[in-house]
Amino acid sequence: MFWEPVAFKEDDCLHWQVGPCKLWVKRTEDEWQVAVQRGASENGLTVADTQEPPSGVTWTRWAAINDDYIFRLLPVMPDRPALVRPESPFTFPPQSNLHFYVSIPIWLRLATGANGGNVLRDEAVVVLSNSWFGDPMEGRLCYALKTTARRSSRFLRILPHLAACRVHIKNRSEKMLAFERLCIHTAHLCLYHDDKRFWTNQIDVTYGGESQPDSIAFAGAPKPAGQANVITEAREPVKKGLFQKSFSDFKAFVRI
Amino acid sequence: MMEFLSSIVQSPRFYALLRVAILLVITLPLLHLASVAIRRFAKRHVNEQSAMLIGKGIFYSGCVLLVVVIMQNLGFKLTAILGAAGILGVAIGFASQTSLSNIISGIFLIWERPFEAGDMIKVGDTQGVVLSIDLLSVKLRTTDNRYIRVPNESLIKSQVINITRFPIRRMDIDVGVAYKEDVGRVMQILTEIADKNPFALDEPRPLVLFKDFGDSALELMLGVWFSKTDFLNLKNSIMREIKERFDAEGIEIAFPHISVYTGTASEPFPVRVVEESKK
Repeated sequence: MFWEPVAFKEDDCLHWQVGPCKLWVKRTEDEWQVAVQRGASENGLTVADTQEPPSGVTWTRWAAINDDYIFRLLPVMPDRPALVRPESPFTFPPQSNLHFYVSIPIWLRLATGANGGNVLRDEAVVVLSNSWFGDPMEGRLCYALKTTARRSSRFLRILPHLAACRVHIKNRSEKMLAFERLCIHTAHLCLYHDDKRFWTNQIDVTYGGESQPDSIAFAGAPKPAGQANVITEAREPVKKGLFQKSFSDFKAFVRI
Repeated sequence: MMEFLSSIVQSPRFYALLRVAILLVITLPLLHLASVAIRRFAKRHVNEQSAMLIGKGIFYSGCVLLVVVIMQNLGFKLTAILGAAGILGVAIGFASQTSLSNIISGIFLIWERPFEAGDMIKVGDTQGVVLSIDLLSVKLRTTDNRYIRVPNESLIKSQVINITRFPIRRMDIDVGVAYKEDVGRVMQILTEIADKNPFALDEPRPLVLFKDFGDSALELMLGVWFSKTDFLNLKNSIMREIKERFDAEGIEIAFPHISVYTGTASEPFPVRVVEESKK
């Protein structure tokens, strides 16, 4: 597991690769140095390998605390919501109760200390395009994500940098519900691992029709994840009553 | 000496001056504290500019009241002073029409709030970040770090563009390609370039427009939405990507050129080569 703590010795240079993201971490006498490179290979997974970086990489430096020689690479969810759009049109029948899966690329948190308490920075494994949820005058900046909206997790690609998110839709209205876009607030999602892949919390969305407010809830890990363990907690835990306070915020949170 | 001092202490004017001194020592710091407290409180509800204005308004109103009270204490007749002030006000008003116009314009600007401190605005040929909106003028800092003072009156009269009012903007890039190119393919390539650029917003969708049959080129426009903080990143990256992709695809970026004919379009222009004369 790439998120286990690794003890460095002075002048060690270790290499990690998670999906297309390659990292080199160096511990000198008084600082941590990190170099990042994104390649074309998507399937790579290398953990704390002794490998020198290619020439020309850019190093970022942090002053180190004297006795801090432990480094951790923690998987975290992206720092902005993901605006998910289906690759091909997808429609939910009236009074239906269906689910589909979305693959979300994770981020990596570079941290030092035994419990990873000293965060150096968060690094995107894949640089996603920006997107906008809302109208041009008011809304929120998101990452653009395309999904094939697979109905079964068997069809999802198992890659070290992708987290499977099960979205459960209840269409309570009497009309067909066309899935155009879904804004997933990734900051409210935890990351689980079941020895094969990352999972996030299941998202339950209830659509009551145009005149009815939608409702959204975050469950734990979905059933296919089995006994998956929590690897990282959500960046922002969901507060009870958060969406009851402001209807406009509530509507902006999820719109299909 | 003692008699002189006791005569001063016993005089009513001494007590009046003492009262004024006590009034000033107590009231001025209190006024200052009150204006700061109100400004801090107002900051929670209104923007910083308005909060500053409210604070200053309270302080100066308090000062005017203080002056009136001091005058009364010193035995001045207020009716006569106010009468004189009225005449003086008219005279000053005539003499400072421009300043008054700027002040009134400033009040309108603060009330209407077409921009706030920190916004990037364009007034005529001047573009810069608003540093402050004061009663007489608006102070701007240009991108090349120059300080510009724009009188409020001219801001009220002219068109002001607030570039950073909304969180996202569209960058329109004019692209001209040679007449021989397949327009459909060029439009598709432009869309792909916008889709791949991480600073270009995926939604609202990029716009590709076939604008016109130009003099020397087929004129197209690529409109890409972006977050207002990504202007430079997008501009630099997408222009480079268009050039590189067009080069890779063999698409000719047109440039202005003139065809010279000898009267018939199909006939070649006769050229006579003349040897350099031997000296």
